[in-house]
Amino acid sequence: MRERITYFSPQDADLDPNQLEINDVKVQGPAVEAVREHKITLTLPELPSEIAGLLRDLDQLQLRWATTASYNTLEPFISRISPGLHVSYTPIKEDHDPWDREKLCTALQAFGRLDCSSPDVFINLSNERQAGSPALFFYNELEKLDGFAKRLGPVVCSGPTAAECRKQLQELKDAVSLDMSYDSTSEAVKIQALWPLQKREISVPASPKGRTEVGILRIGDAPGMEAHEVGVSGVLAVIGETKTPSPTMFAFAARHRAATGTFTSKFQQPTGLHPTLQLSLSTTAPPVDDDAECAPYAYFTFPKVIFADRYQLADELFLASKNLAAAKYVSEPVDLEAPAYTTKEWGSNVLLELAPPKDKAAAKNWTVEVPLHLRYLKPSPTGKEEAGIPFPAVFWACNGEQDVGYAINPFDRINLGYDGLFEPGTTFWHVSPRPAADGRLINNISVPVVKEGASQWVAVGTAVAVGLGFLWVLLKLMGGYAKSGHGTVKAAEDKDKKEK
Amino acid sequence: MSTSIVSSLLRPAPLFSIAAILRLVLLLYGTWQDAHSAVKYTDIDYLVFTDAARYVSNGLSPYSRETYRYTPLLAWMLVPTAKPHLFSFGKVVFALADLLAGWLIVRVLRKQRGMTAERAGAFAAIWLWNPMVATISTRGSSEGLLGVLTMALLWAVEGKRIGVAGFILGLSVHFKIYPFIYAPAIIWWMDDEHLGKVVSKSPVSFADAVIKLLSPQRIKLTLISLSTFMGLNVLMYYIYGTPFLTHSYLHHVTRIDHRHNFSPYNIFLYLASADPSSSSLHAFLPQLLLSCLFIPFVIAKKDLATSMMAQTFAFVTFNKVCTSQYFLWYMIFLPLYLPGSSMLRVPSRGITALLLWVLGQAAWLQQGYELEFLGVSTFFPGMWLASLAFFLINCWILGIIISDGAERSIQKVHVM
Repeated sequence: MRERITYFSPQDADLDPNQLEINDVKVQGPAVEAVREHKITLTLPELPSEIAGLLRDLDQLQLRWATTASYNTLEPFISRISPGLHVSYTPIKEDHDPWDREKLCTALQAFGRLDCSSPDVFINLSNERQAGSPALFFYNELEKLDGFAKRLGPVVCSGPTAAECRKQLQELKDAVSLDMSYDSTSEAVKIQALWPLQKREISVPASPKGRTEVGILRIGDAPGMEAHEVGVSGVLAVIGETKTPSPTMFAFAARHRAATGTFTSKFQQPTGLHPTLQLSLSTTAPPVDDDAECAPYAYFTFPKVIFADRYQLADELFLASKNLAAAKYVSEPVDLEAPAYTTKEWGSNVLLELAPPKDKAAAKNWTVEVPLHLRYLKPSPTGKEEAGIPFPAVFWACNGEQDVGYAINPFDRINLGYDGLFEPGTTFWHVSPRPAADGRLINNISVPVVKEGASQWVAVGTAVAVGLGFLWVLLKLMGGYAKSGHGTVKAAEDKDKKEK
Repeated sequence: MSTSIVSSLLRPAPLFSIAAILRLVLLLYGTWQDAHSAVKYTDIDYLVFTDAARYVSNGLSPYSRETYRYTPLLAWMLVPTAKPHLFSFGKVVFALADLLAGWLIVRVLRKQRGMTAERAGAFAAIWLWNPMVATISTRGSSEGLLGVLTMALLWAVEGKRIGVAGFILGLSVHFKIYPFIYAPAIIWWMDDEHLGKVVSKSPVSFADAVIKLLSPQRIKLTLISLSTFMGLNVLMYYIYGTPFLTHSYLHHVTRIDHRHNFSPYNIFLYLASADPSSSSLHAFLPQLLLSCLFIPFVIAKKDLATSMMAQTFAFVTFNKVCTSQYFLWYMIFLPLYLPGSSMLRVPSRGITALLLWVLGQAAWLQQGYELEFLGVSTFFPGMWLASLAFFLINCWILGIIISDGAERSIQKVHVM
């Protein structure tokens, strides 16, 4: 087990390394404006046996969670995904035993009640993606990690350090992002949690079982650094090994960068059954040299209640009228008619290329409209059902060299859903989301449904109306039959013949 | 003066020219709107057909296109639309089908009903100059094809072309299932009187009656239509396999029909679909009893066209799904039913029927607008009551059509 805790501050942050107190059990320091990342690397034998057993059947597994709350962060911790829990995996065997999925689903219940038990709830991702991308994907909304931290405590915290372990788990309550990934090549599980940019005290206890590396860093120019790189400087320490912090300075090419500007996401009112999601962007193209081709994109994670119609998004004139350039990817399958309660898949992913205004000056503020459709939901007592649609990830994607050494970046993040749809050397310049009035990165929408109380009225009323209508028609038929029977009258036939 | 101008327009050449020009103008306008506006004139279904045709032209199954729920014949027919400059080919076919249906109407009215050209033209204009019909076909909806098929069926039967009639019947059932309701009417109609044979005396025993019923012509029609229908199905199944059966036929049995539409069952079915234990198959019963049994039994022998109109009207009215395109299925018979009907003899009745039919739809559409565009939960009671009201209006109109159909021969007696 290895732990790495990084405090990352803005360039102007003021921190004197001499103020750090480093001893055998902890690193302590004054409060500083910083993002905090906690990375834990575990090997399979270090995991509880059921979890290790589950992972052995998988080629790779990624669990990613992002908070619904709005938060501030810094490069290189800038990459975004839609708020909620994203699960992707590849089984070792092509025709994997459904038992694996059931075991995985059971394990996932640690996060809360997740609706993953139906066989087709995971969607297939294998087409159109980079090699090495996961095969199956599932998403579930998940507001907080509180329940997860609570349920995990008894499983992972034991022995004399149990109290400290639980305290650390409790800190997950304030985390804004959590990644857990496993791959069969390294047989290692990596857990990365991120806390947002704010004034925070530096305090790192030694890992109870392994090595603990602490980095107190800030953005800064490193010598020999290239224009497209992110430079970092600061101090590093390993608890129990170093008594004084050792200065460091390095630079790396980052896959995920911060674009200027923000975006907002809201539903155009009234929403009806075919709502339009409006994304308003205040961003210009990222600061890259002219030969890099950049285009803005939005990557959506739509729970099954809402979907985009790939066929509607195929017409160029229609797309242009919405300031969209193209629907680059729509996950499959997306049933265009079924109600939510018979739809097995969790929902769908959509990657849209946005069309910024041609006039660069007008590009300061622009809006795109995403035409969507609601599925019918089950009856409710009020005739309304509330649904939360997570904000998309909005970014400029710029072409880059195929062999950029992104993997050198100690804070790199891959398999976020959208990155596999681009060439390997692509740089993603993320536009920060600006939340709605409630501070959440969720668009609420009210879906009209039939009122539950209608049920008895409708059953009786429909039967009565159909019965009456049927009887009326029957009476008319009987009246006709009484007058003229079921046959023809001879005279009519004669007339027909004469006419010929 | 003005009446003579109108009646001169009803002669065949101007009648069809105006119908053709109407469709041509709509077609060109639609092409222009599609090219210049984000709001498309072309029907979404047409994009489904043309996508399917593109798959077919690449040697793939038309069912590769989601929501393609039709016979592969339709996709085959539209293969030219796979070429970008021939995109409108299908619409032209549908518009020509409209005109052909109109021509058949005129022919039936003149040859089989003995009407003058102008009078036949006036009734045919109800179909040919109908803006709703012209719009639906030029937007690329295939319902117009059903119009020509059912009219050709009536034309063939009344012209005693049994082989042709059997083929058309089999083809149309393969195309859209619902024309199977015409089979009992046609079979019932095909007695010695209608086939122009010497009428043998009434059967005395039950066995006699059965033997009389199993006439060679009836057996011929049954065999030809069944073999056409099954032959096409076997062929399509052989080429496209299970997806053909699933999408063309089984889909219509298993679909849950929860999305709002005119059907009186709609809200009931939405509620039922949310409860997996429920079944709604009994909804087929009143529909099938009326359209396949009772109506043809009483009316088919008196007036086959009115029987087919009433059967279709009952089928659409009592159907589990009902959208305005389905109204075209019975509108094709209007020119044959209206002459001599009480709707024209008693204009106030006809006008009331038309007004109520339009108002019933308008009331429902208003509820539908509030739901679809404003997101108001109008399912209950507004939309539900509107659909029941529209249903009862339709039942009342159906009652009039039935009474007219039953009285038709009586009137002719009086005329004599």
